[in-house]
Amino acid sequence: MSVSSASSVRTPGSLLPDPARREKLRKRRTLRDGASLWGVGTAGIGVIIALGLIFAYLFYETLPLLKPVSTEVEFDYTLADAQVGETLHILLDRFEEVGAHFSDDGRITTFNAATGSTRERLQIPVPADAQITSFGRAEPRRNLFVYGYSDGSVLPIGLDFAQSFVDGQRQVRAQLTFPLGEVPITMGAQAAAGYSALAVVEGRGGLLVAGGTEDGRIAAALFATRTNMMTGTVEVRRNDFSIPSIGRPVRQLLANESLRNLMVIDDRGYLFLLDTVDRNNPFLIEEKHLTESGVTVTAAEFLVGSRSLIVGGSDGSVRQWILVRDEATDQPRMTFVRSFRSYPGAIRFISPEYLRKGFLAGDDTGTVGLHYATASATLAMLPVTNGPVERLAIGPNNSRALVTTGASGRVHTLAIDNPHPQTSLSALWGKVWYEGRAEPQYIWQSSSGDDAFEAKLSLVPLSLGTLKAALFAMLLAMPLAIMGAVYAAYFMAPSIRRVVKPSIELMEALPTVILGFLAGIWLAPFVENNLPILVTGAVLFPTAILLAGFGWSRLPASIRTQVPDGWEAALLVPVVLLVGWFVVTSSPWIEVLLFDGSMRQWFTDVGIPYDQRNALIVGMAMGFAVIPTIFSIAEDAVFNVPRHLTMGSLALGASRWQTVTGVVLLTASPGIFSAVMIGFGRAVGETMIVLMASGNSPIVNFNLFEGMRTLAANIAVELPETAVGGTHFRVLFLSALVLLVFTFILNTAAEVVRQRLRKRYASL
Amino acid sequence: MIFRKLLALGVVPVLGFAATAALAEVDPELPSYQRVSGISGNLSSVGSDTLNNLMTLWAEEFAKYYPNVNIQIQGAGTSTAPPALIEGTSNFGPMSRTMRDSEVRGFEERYGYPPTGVPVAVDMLAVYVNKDNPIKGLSLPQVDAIFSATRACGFGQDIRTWGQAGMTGAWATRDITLYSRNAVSGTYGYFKENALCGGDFKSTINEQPGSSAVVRGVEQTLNSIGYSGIGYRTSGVRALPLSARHGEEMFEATADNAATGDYPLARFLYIYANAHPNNGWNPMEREFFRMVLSREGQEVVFKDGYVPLTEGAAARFRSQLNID
Repeated sequence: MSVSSASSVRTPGSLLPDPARREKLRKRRTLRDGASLWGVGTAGIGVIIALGLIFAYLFYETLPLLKPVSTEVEFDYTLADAQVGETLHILLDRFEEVGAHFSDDGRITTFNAATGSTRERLQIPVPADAQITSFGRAEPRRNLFVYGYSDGSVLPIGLDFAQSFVDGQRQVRAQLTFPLGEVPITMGAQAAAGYSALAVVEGRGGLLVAGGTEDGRIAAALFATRTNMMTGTVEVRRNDFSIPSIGRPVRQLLANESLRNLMVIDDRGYLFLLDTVDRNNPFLIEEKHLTESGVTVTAAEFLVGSRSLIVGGSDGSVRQWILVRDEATDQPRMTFVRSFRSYPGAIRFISPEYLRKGFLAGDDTGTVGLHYATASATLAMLPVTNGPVERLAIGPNNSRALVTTGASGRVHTLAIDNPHPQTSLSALWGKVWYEGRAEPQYIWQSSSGDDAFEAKLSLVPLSLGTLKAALFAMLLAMPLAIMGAVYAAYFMAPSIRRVVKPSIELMEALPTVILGFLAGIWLAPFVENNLPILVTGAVLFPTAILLAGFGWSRLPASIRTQVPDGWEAALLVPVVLLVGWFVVTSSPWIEVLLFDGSMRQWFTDVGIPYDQRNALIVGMAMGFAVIPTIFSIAEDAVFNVPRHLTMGSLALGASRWQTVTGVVLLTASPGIFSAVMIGFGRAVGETMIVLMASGNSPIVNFNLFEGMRTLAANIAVELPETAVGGTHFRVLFLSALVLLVFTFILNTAAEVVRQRLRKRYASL
Repeated sequence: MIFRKLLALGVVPVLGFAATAALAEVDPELPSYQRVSGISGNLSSVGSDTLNNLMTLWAEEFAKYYPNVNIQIQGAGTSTAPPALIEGTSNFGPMSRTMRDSEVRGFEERYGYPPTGVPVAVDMLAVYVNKDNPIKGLSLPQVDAIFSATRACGFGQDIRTWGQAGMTGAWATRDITLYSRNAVSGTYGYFKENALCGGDFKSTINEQPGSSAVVRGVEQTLNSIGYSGIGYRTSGVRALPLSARHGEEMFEATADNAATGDYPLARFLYIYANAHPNNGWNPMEREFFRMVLSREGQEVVFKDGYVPLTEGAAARFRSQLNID
């Protein structure tokens, strides 16, 4: 019934819905309008917000790198035991809660690092009728020391902080260890009556103890250890060195962990570098003055890993020296690398960080400074006491340090917040002189199995690698894709185009990991074994195609009209196949004829480095991945050039070629340009192809036949391994930010250029 | 039926032979693993690529005893183990080197006690060349001069061609393509410390994401050299005999030479775990370690191409862990 009553309202004969329904429809329309307006708007703004959040997140992860170092005096107290004897050394345990004070009567006192209250007292065994006359130590992370007695014997001693857990609470107990037994040893043929300087080092192949005397004699003994993996038994063999006298009072002795060199510093600030590789025949390599003339060396200490020496002078200068191999003589030479900010007084003590290349130094005036070697940085310098600094100890976690002053037993503790000293603008983007290198270089080598490794975090090789990969990919992809696009859009018969365009676009769906896999596993060895195809292919393909075109144009019209308009490209297929076959099969013959049987070897002979996985392979694989992107957009741009323009041009008598170069290309140029830029952006960010096909060698050059390491591939390789929150982790985030900024700048520039092009050719 | 019979006849003797061969190489003193009751749940392992196959085989072995235990294994590289252990995303961290001090410290900061590392097998880090490369062997200083930019082991000259490594004929002028693991790898770190004397790699090394990728690269490139665990040896490559010092006798990568220490790049492979010093082991983890350090576990080591532990060593590690 209700149906009939509703229909009765409708105006007979009208197709319009009745007013009530119209009202309903109108409401629905406004609702849809509103919804789509809000929906599209939200989605659009959401994209921008998401992008902004990515930026913000990357910034957030990178920001701590920029945080300034903070150093401040935390506590100060008097150590009871420090007043009794002279201080030989101080140190902090690995949790930086317990300090240890070594005094010259053989006592080691551990104390609470926050209050100075004594915890335990340990006594070093001292032979009867003898006193401690000298003291030496290995690098801090070993906690290894050597005491020299007045009877000429020495005793290496380790200090261990043993942890035990009682009811879930950590208990730390100090204990002495004796790596060579509790009986003091005598070194060398010439047992000296007390040494003026001692050194102990636990290096590659054993424990080395060395001592030097007031009259310049040096004795050293190596205790070589070899452990049987299965039984766990340790074999110790002792070797004594006979070292020539240096004829000067020995002030400090240093032996590096490689056990290849011994460094002796005398009273004038000269360093004597000795070669100790041959145990029976050590010799003097060179004698070098480490400071300016008239300045003596008042403190010298190895940085962790004992590859560089920090030297403090009586004039307050702080310099870093490293051993660099002299290629001519094949001997290491002490080489000056960098100096740090000078102190007001003579340097008294240097305390290197345990696991990084940083150090703390203190001077006569009570000034203490914090430096980082790799970054050439003086991070902080502050007056801590009034008197001269006597000893310094930075903790293993680099967050607390102890400073002792004079004989009063006064100790100041410093609270240090210095999580990322390795990075500075110059360390990330400039050439850095790393340990063991002959000159400053750009190097990316981020980690190793040992903490003594100096992290080399230059972003230059990665950024250049990214550009290199993208450049070679574009070199291949751009001409092919653009020319293909123009041909497909303008000359090709629509029936072929309908097949060609989707097939090329389908290439884009190919996962890049598969492309990279094929490039690395199949293409790279194939190209290496058939190198002549590169040359012959590059010459023969274009020539053959041009020749075929020329030949076609010379054929009589009767034959040419047989082929329908736009199908000429099909005629090239056999030509290309034939040339391809010829190029591959002729390759071994060309190698035999011109390159002595192997072009690969020829490259080596003429001095071109060749790597199987190189920029060429990456360029080919990545070019293949980028072609569809460029082709698709460029083809659309060319195809959408208004018909009236081309028709007009043709009607005015221009040839088809003139129309393409004069009208079509110009009008489509904004589109083609953005196609190229989008392709480039894709090549810059591409990861898997580079990862699998390039060898990931972080080298700084644009050699076509060597690999590269790109920012994206580097992040993919290294991010999973890094400790969350560490410097390496943050630098990887920084490199991600660099990559994002890279593409951001690129796209913005591209958009600006595109807009200008569009404006200029809009009038056409 | 006939087919099945043939199969049985054919397969059983082969299996029997394999079993006796394996037993001959694994220390017969090692105790056999005894199943205990009440073990079930999930175990996960994140870490070394060198140990990846071994972990998988152990997991299979473990599942034979405890079908209710589900084990997940990821092997991207040794350096992924400490972050995963610290973040608590894995029970085991297989590593092909010992933990660095900084990694131990990261763990201690989170838990207050150090992680527990257990040597579970012996690997010989092998220096591989293409099978068609006739070189006899190398000394470690030569290996260093080939791979390193700093030559910390002290070889006189940089080695860029095989001729500089002492080869003659067509090989004298061939240059050397270097394959390396990437920096995530413990193998990379171990090689850097022990073969390069702590020096730096050349920038021109080809860093490969896995041990098998390195071996595969060496297979495909005639003039190449690379390094990986001995378990990844294939027929396309040859593991070179090595000597610790230049001019000394070179030793093949064999189990005996590894045990005596004559082969210079023999190392322990470790599994790290989070064991509270007071509360002791999680029973599942304890049983896994007991299985790994038993005869069955070490037979797996042998089958995978690594060197199994002797009972002397295994007993020492078991008592250190208090899992005897």
